[in-house]
Amino acid sequence: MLLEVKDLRIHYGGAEAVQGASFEVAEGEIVALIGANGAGKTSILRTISGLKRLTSGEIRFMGERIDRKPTAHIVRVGIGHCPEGRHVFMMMSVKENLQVGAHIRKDKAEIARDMEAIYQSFPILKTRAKQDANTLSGGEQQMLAIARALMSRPKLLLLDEPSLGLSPIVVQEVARIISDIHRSGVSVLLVEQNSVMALNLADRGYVLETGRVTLEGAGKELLHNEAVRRAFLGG
Amino acid sequence: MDVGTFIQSLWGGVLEAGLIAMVAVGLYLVLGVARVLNFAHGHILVLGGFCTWGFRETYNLNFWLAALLGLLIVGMGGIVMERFPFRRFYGNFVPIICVGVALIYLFEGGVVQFFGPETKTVGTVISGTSGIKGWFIMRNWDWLVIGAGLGCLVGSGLFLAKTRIGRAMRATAVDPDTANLQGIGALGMARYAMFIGCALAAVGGGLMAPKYGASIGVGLAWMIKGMLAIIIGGLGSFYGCLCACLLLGMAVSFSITYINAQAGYIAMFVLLVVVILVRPWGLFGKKITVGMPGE
Repeated sequence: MLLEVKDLRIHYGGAEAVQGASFEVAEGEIVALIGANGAGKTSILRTISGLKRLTSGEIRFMGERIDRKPTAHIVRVGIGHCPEGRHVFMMMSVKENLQVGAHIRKDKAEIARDMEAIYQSFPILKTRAKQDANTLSGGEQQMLAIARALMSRPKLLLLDEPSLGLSPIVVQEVARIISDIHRSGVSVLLVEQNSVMALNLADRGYVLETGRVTLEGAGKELLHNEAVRRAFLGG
Repeated sequence: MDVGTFIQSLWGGVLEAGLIAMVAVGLYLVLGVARVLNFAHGHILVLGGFCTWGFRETYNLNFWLAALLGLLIVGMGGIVMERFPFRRFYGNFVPIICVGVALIYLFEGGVVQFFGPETKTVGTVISGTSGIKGWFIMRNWDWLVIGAGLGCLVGSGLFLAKTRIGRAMRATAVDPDTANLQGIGALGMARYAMFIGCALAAVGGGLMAPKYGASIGVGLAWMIKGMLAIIIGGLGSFYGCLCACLLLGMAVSFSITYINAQAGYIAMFVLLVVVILVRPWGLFGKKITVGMPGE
């Protein structure tokens, strides 16, 4: 198993945001974690990356316990994280953002090749390579944030709400990019409020409600599940 | 008003600006990357001067070698400072300020204890003057200080702009969490910032020593000058900080020439007040809302 999360509990202040969630991601999978606002999705991703510490439970990546490791180590073992709200480095150029994404690598020639490959699949980033990230539109910033996360050559990519605040056409574009990334051999853990998009892409999905996993199954199966339809898909 | 005096003051301003910048850039880096406002940073500058003096006095070393050793020792001292007192308090601003103040007493007490309270004179390294007769004349040493200071500043600017570590430091300064997610260790970056900041200040102190001597009493004054530059330039703006250094240098130099020797300090604070009244976020800072909520 690539990523195993067992009995994860996370507290924010006094409140228990995640109350014993368990799930896993196998190599080569896209797994969707869906749930309403406040269900604890972002907390889980931040905890996997080590930005937030768990109260109890365990997280394993390729068999190694990573739940007490510093974030920089977690990135080095192969977990890329594209955070909610994109968080591109605003006053840096697109190219610099990508260079920062490759921080853990020192193989200059390979980095240059990866950057070229990124420009191939995101032509808009090539056009804007020298512009500061704050001149980009929301969709372009999302592309940049995903591309930046890819520059570390992750084995597992954590995507936090990549469709947030984007128009339906751009959401389609993002979905296409996610399946491209998956096809290139990167496993994906996708957190989304846009359940239709997420479950269409995913091999498997987990439904998170108030910090608990209440349902799991194949993506298509959840998409047609009566309870999921009622809760998240508006009928 | 004759042109010669004017140009003379202009160069005096550049010289003063360079020295302020040697403090301000370090303060800026440490504040941005580690979120530490190091009150003892001006004392670091003075300690750089003391190291230079000490190596010359005790081992009769060449000035440049002494200054280089001072840079390395004080830089390493910065790493120790980051590791022990400051690291325990990251994220908590008030204890960090207390640590800075404690360090001031430690440095002052230590220097007086071991070297005595008097100002140490470091002999002239290069004598003579040059310039254009009838226009402006400066001591050769001052020319050299301007050159060396400019070199250090351009160097650190390029380092921040062009290198892998420099980019990582900038990323950490603007968004520590997201920088973390790129595999950038915040503690490592804080260490770099502290080393570079302290080394720059030590160079400043070393360069100043032949002109002003080394005196531990002036530490706080330098720290305040550096802080003024950061506030006037706008928090988080490197070029703003450098521009502010230039403005401060000019304010000091011109008010000394045209008013009197005491006017320098007042001029700096007048500049601060004027800038802050017009643009509370500084010359190049990001616009912020100021004032009490609900008013």
